[in-house]
Amino acid sequence: MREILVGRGTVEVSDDADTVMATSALGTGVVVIAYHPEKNVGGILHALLPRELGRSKVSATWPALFVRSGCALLLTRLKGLGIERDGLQLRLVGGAELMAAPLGMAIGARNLAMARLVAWQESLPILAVAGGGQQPLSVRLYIANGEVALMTPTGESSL
Amino acid sequence: MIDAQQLISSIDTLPTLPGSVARLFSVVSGDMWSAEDMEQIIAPDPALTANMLRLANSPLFGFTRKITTIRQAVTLMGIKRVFEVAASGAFARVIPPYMAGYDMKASDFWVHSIGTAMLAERLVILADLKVQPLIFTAGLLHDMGKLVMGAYVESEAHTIRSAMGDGCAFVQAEGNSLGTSHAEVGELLAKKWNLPEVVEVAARWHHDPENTPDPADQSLVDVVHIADALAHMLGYGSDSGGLMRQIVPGALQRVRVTERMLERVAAETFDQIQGVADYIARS
Repeated sequence: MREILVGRGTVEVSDDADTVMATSALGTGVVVIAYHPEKNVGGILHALLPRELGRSKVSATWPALFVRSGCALLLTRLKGLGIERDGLQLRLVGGAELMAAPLGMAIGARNLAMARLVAWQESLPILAVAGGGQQPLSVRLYIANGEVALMTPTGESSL
Repeated sequence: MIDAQQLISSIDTLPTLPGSVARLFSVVSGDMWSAEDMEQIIAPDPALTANMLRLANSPLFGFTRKITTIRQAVTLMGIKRVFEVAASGAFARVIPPYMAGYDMKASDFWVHSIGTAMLAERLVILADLKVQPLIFTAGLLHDMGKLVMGAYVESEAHTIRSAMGDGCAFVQAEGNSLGTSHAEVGELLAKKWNLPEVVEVAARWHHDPENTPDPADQSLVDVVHIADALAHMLGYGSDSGGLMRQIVPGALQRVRVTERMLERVAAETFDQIQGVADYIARS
């Protein structure tokens, strides 16, 4: 089976049933998994921050670093594989927080909130969310059937 | 609990940071120096020279022109950057392949160390802070105590995990189980390696900035404390502590950092840190 590592600040898509996509451990970053169950095509966005920074160069060079522009990129890349929004389903993972994060320091929660907002704006259903807490999570998406495995330091479960 | 004598023995058995790093620091600290001074210290250590030139030409420091000699490095990069590259190269040599207690591969530890250094340096610029010029090195070496503590943490892993399950921060769980923390051990190690005092102070207080003894060091410690937490938040070198860590509100207030500013620091360093992570993964 071919494994594609979805690095921080990147989007990967695939229609190859022999592919599994995997992320590194997430902190406050968020993973948006989009999958079309009838066409068996899917993709992952691995973003670290909720929204772009004004006129900063990084906003243009690394759109997938940000949830908002990264989701747009994910949808565009899936469209390139012939997948329109109808029938796409989302799963969201990550958005952890430091324990006792000071007031106003909730990047993880804002990442998840931005992903939910984009899903609502694009009328995309969210099937499941595994977020918050303090545990580092990582994710594997099997393109063949859309199965998502969640890895924590103590074990694995499906989402 | 760790027996003090056992701990000192562990520190003694650790590979040493070359004395050349401490000698370089004395050159950097003085007013009178030349490229020749730097060359005389670095050149006799072939491993340090090779590592330094390798890093100087890596994405870590982002120079487009190929650097082939120490003298050229000093001319192109400046003495402070050369010291930072030399310290990075020397540090890379003493990191074990895997730190079992922290469940960290050398590559993850290295990305966390470099990530913290770069985030700290950027934070100083964006927040317009006046701190020690060696902020990069202080960030780079802040967790060096983990090099010694790994084996002890592994032996108490169950107790530490259980304490974290009860809501205890990782560094407190480590301290409660072992009687000392990687921060305290880092201070001992910095002394043993004759590292600059700012490195010693950052290593010792980076989890406890409120108790920094000398007010002159407060900004330095606050910045390293925030950068360390931010590196963990962004997933640069995840360890067994996960996000069972804190940012002390006082540190954020003293350096006047907002969440939006932290996001900017994270975004503006991303390209460089990711470049380093990719480089390490390929090496």
